Amino acid sequence: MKETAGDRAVHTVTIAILAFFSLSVAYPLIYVLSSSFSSADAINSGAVRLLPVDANVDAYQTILDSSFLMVGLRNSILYAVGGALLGTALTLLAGYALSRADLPFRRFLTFFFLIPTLLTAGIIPTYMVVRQLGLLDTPWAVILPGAMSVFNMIITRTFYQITVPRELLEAARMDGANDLQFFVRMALPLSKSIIAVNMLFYGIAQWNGWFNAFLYLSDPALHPLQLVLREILAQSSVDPSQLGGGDVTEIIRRKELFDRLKYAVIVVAMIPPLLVYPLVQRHFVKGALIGSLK
Amino acid sequence: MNDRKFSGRRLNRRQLLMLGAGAVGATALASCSGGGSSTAPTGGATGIPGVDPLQLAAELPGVRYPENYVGPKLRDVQPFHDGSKTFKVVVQRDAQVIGDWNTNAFSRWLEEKTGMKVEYEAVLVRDANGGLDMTRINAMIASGDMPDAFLNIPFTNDQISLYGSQGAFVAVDDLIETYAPQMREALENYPQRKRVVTARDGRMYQFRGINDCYHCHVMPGRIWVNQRYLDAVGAEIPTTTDEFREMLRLLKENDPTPGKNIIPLAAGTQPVDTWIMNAFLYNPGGTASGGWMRVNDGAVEFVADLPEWREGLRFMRSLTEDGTIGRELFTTTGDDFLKAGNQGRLGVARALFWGQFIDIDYSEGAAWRDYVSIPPLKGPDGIQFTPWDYYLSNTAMPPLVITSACENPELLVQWGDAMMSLEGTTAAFSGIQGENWGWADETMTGFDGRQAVWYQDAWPPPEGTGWSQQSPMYRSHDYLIGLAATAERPTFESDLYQATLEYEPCAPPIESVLQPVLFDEAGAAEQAQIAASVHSHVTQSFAKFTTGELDINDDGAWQGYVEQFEAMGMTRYLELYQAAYDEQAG
Repeated sequence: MKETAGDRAVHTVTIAILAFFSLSVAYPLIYVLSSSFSSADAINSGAVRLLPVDANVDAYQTILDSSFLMVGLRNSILYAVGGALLGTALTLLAGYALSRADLPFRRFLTFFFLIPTLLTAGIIPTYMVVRQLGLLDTPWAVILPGAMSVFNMIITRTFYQITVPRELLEAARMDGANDLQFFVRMALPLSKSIIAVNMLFYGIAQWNGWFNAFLYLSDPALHPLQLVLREILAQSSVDPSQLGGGDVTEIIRRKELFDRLKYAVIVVAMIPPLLVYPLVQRHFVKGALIGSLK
Repeated sequence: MNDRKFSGRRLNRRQLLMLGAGAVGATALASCSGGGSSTAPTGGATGIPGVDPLQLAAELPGVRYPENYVGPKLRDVQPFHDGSKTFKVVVQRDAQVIGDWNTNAFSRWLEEKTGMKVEYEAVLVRDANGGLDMTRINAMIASGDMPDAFLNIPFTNDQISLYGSQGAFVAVDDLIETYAPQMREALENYPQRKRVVTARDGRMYQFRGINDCYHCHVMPGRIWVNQRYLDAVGAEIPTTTDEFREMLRLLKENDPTPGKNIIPLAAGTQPVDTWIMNAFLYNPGGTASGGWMRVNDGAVEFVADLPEWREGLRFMRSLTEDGTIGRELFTTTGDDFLKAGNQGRLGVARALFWGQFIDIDYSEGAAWRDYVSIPPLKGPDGIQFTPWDYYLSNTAMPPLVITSACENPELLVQWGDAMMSLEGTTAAFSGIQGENWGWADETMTGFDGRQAVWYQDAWPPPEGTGWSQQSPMYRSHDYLIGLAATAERPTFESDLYQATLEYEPCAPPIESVLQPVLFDEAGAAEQAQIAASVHSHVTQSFAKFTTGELDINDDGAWQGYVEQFEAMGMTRYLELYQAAYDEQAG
């Protein structure tokens, strides 16, 4: 079939627009990647535009050599996996239970879950609770507070209401399944997509999170990567006018470290989400979008 | 002092500590509180009654001092505690220099020298932009999770004053009189320091050292010019505003840069007015938390609406008309400034030090060495000042703040005093003696060419050996310039010292410099609000008048600018400052 001039024009314009948007998304990524392989001098004099200048892997070597970055990376993985597993488990249990019409006090329980979304205690009361539970300076202080998100729970509940109809439950009952068997053998296998979406949400939230660690952890051996990065960032941008003799050298040293590391560190912090997103993306339509209908 | 609050009933230790002053000396001692005396009528510290004040230990040989040296000397400091108690001290985390506080070499040195066992808890207090984020500290204080002391946690003086008078922090002035001979000596040598560390109630709630960094006095007022470019266009270092204008014109017209893309004058993130206005009137400069205030014959005065300020703006306008400056003077970011500098595009750079606009290292012939400082310019009326911070209010001087949870504050004061010693100060700063630093031999000279006191190989010292600048320190002027500056051990500090010498003669008299003042809680909130709007009005208008967006020669525009300050509450603002100044100055 021959394309008319009009079709061609539409195609050209569409491609141009899409290309423009793709480039504007891709360019910063490429720039960061190229900079991470360039020398600090080249970055500071603005020589890096698209491809690496004075290509080297010094920055990555520094990251591998610096214990605190590697410790941060390890902790971040730990918190992301732990937070994803715990959060998803809690969400599925609560969401499934609340999706069942025969749950006693269902309305009251749903309302109960909604209370903390309307009222939050604030930093200091939460700090006191965490302290009195003896969680300060333990990994639990990062994983437990806010382990389950009510928003995710509601999405999960709606998902179960739609994809696990009452008729299915009745049929299973006829075959002699009890509640636990039905949940494990019927509901769970049907909800792979919502599980994947929950894991992604919780995992990414923990991967990006720094505030719990900032507030509750003093032991640097427990700090997640984001907090380590934040510290490097903070120390490289201290106002020199605030500092006294001897500091000029320190400012320079910190700036050098920062210049050398910042792009490589962004790349490192970016890799896990980049790897996971494509794998989980196909579940979004089934999981989150269906779940969020109601 | 706090006698009014004392009701006469029996107080438990906590309440006594909350009174801070320990109104009845005997009870106070028995409960080892902050101590104090009810008989001090003027608020001066009198020491702990019944305890003989400790004296400085005997001097030890082995260190060469220049003539008339004022500062810490090597003394025989001995342990004073048996380590039976452990103190918890909250500090700032610093992975790059200090590492783990509890295993740091200086921490171990300190424990050995004093006998004090200290458990350090390191917290983060800065956000990603380097600003303050005290969430963690506030949560600790509000939830009663109090350590024995906070070291170098950036409380403002207002906060320390407030928490101190509320009893959360212990007053240390009497303890210093009795237990801290090195601090006593330091305060005698630096009497004006007392004003900065004294709270509104006349007590001292922070044990804070001295860091008399010479070039820091003038840090915000400096400007640099590329000598090589000046030679290329046949110009000299300007001495007056007219010569400066002419020099910019020459740089612009005979562009000496390799890329023929000169920026004659660039400023990065540093305000321009702090420098140029001092050729028209004494202007200390300002930030969003205050400033542009000076003292005129005992009266606090705002400078950014005076007729001389207008003259300064006229001068800036003339530069715009010459085409030597443009909007970029006010819009350049720190990163762009650095890029431009590294590309060799800068003629004149307004910056605290070279590193803000060009990569620096110690190599011979490095590009930054072309940039020399321009001494303060003389204005058309012969005015020639430079902002000079007598009080070093922005310089790192870490406070040690002892909390009411501490049962033996006198031991922590002695602990702090040990860090003020010559050895303590140097080891905290430079790490392990013999490995990174030592006492200078007779061949080494300091920044001013006199006998050096100490040398160091590198700074910062290897990770985990020093405390950066986070200890109570006694770094007097003579001590700081007594660092050996030799070819094998170059230091930027020496270059900055040289670059500051020509500024000092233009410092304003100390009476006209507004000392840092403290406000009460309500006053501080009010001051902060007005200061923020004053800051944006001054800086924005400075840019608008300079670029010609507002016409400086139009009386109406100028009148509107001046009246806007009134609408922001300038009258009240001045009242607040005047009241605080009258209360605290002198």
